[in-house]
Amino acid sequence: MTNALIALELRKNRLTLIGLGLSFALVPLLSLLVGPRTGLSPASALDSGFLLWTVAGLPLSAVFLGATAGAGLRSPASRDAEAPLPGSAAGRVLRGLAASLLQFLLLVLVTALVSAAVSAGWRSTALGVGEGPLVLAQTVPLRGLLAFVAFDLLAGSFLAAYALGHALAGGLIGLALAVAEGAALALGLQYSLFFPDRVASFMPLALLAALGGLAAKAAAVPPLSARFERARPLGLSRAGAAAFLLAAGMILSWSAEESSLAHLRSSLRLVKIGVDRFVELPFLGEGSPQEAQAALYPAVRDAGALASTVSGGLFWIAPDGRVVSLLPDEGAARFSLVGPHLKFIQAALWDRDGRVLVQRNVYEPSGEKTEFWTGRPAAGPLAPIRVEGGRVVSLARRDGTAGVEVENDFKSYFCAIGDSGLASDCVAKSWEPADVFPPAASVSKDGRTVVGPAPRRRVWRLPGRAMETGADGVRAALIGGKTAYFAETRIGDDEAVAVCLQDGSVRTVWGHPYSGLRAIGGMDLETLPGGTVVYPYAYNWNVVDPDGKFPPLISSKGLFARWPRPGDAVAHTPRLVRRSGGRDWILFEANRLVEMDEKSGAPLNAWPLPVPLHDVVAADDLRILSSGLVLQGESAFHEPGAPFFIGWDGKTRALRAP
Amino acid sequence: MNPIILQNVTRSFDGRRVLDGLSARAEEGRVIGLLGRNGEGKTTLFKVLLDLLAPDSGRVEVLGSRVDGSGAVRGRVGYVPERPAFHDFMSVGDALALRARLFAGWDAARAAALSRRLSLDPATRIAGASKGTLGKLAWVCAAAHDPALYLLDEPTSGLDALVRDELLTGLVSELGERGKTVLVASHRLDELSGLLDEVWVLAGGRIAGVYDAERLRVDARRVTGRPRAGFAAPAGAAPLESEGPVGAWAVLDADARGKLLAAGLEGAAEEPLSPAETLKTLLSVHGGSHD
Repeated sequence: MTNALIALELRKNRLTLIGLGLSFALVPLLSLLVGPRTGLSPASALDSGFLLWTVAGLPLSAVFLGATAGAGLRSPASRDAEAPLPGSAAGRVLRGLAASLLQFLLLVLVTALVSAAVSAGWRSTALGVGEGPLVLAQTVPLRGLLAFVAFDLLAGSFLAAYALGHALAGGLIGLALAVAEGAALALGLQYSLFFPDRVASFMPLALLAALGGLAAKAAAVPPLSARFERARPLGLSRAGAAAFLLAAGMILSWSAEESSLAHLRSSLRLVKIGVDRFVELPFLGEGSPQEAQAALYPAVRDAGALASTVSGGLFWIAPDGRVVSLLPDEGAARFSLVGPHLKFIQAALWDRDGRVLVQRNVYEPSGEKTEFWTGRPAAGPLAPIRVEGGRVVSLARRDGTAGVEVENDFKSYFCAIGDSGLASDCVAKSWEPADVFPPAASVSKDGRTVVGPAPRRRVWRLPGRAMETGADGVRAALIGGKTAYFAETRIGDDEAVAVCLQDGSVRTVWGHPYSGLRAIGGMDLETLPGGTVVYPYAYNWNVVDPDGKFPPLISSKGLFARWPRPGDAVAHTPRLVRRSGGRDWILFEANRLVEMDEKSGAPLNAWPLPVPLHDVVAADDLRILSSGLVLQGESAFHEPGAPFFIGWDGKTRALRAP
Repeated sequence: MNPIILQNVTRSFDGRRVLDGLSARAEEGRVIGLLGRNGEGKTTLFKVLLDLLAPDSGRVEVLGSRVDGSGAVRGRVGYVPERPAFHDFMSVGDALALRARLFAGWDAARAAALSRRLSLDPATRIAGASKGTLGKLAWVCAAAHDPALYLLDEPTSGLDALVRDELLTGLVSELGERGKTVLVASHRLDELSGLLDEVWVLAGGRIAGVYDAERLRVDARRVTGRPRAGFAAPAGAAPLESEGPVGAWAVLDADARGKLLAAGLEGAAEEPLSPAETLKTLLSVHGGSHD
């Protein structure tokens, strides 16, 4: 019986569907007629036509189909003709709705098949053909949401038109409901996209809201149909309930949006002060320009850490653990229908002398702008970067010096920045983007030599063959105040590190049997505040003192004896973070900071970490300062947790914005 | 089983109580004429019985099932509405085919036989079809699933005399003979008088009177005579049109006739009341006149 009545509804509304189908058939024709007159190629005109139909034609078709079917069901002719037929009033309305949804689905399928066959632009934009799996994973939920909104649009229009007995009024109400729901879900999605891993938790919420809305609309059918089919008085409470059910989708969607916003705001509060993760320094991983600079320039190495908020604040965590405001936080970011009120640090760049240059992006409903600031953190708040007769475009480097790229009269310049923030010494010669630090040296293709940086391009012959060629085969660090280049080298059945010194000699150190194990992305070589160079090996450490001495291997054997491993598992690779006065400070087994006597290898002190190292996922969430460590864990939702400082005396305190 | 049970059924529209505590019970196999003035609620009563209208209160049972909003009762009842309507994009054959898929006991052979009997062409388009064609189609739709109960709301409205005669004297009498229960409301109930077993008079939102048709045929009399001075017609005697000093009254039973004579009527004469006058009297007695 159900099929017969759905078939009846399909037949009743077939002319509407045929009309919409004919409208779609006109799309390519009109595109080819109008497109070339506006300067579009035929292919682009077809792409535009099909996309326009998809984003505007289909939703309007949903409104049209729903509203005409809903109002048609209430028409006296239809009701009189169907009155003698068996079946409930609610069933009649639901079957009418189902038939309309089927018709719309058919229209969507025809649109998809024809558009995909004819338009490459439609395939890539609407279906995501050609998008990588990562991008596709992010955009599929959005497309699903949009598709759902179109179906919801139809359901809302249908029911509103049925309740009012008027297609136009119903269509407008349905449109308003769907726009309100769609806007809420889109905003919620936008908030969730702010922390990409939040999308996964928002989408089920959005889906729940959307399905709940649709279910609520279906639940509104019995009281509505009882009222309009069986003339059963609704009464105030039932009328209120029916109105609530019709609006439930909107309420649920806005609740989902509010939840997403509340989550975002609470996340922002959590990261009231966060470490560099939120500074979004480009390529700040190990071996990055920042790390490379830190290794070569003591002013950068000992400068402390930067922290930022997503509401425009920038803070300096001084080497002693103090927090100093460089750019004031301007309160929680706000989001509204017209757009976000948002400021955040896009990039920060240390110069070799310890000055910092900052790019801050400002998003307001009126538009987006970019601010540039500079200063020495120890001197307090930063000053705006100013340039006379030009516009700062981005941060940049030239020959290792930090500055800005300036545009003037369609030409680009590199300008150095003075302490006052004024751009000077602008040159139109080549420079590098801020995130590119010229490799100090590289290993030749045959792996036999290390070639120093331009312009001198000094050559060191290695005692064996380097384990890796190119820039990844060599690391730079200061030994006794002079730059030295370190390369892991295989010598017969052993491997060792060749240290290329400024006097032209090559010193072979830290030899051990060849293991075949290689660090991803090149050798692990770290310069600690104070200048100690660390080369980890099998849970032990080779080091170079700041004065250029190569002491014996620092062993972690005593620590493993004190805290035996369960089986052979190591919770976290031990990490040497400080060496001073015959004692070493080591992050051990993920949960403690240990002070160890270097000669005996015995632990002297051990303090629990405020955040387990398991949760410190990003390299930037752990910063080594001269007076202690800054740690920032992650919450269960992979959001930044509260940052902590732990001094070398083991004292812990939470870091707060001043 | 009583095919129809109505208990204290009320239904109001815009504050006006159309059905006001209506109670009635139909016996199986009876052909019942529903008599009432225009606007007394005949169509409302049919809609309530068909589950097309929710009563405000009261109990409604049709063919042993409570009418509950499911609309299932319409699958078991044969209904001919006052103004038959069908989808105008269909043909007669389409309308029958649709019902064949919706009514559980649909008998295609019976539908075809009825169509032939009523000279109904399946190829006829609904759009532009005459009232007669629609009326005949409604009859076929109501009868093809051979229901136990027929609800006929002005079933001959708009039909010409020949068709009307075929439907009334042919089909309804056949239904009665086959033991079907029929509730029929018609402006031309007098034409059905020979077929009726019972008459329900709907007045004031209630079934104001239930009469056995056979007894009415026997007892309903036209009484004429000259009223003496101080004559006052008793309750139960309805005045009829008369000329000169001789008056005429209609009575429905012997009791009313006796009272009328006792009230002072000289030279009284009696004759059987015609069916039309009987129905008019029924309405008059219950507070109205038959339009």
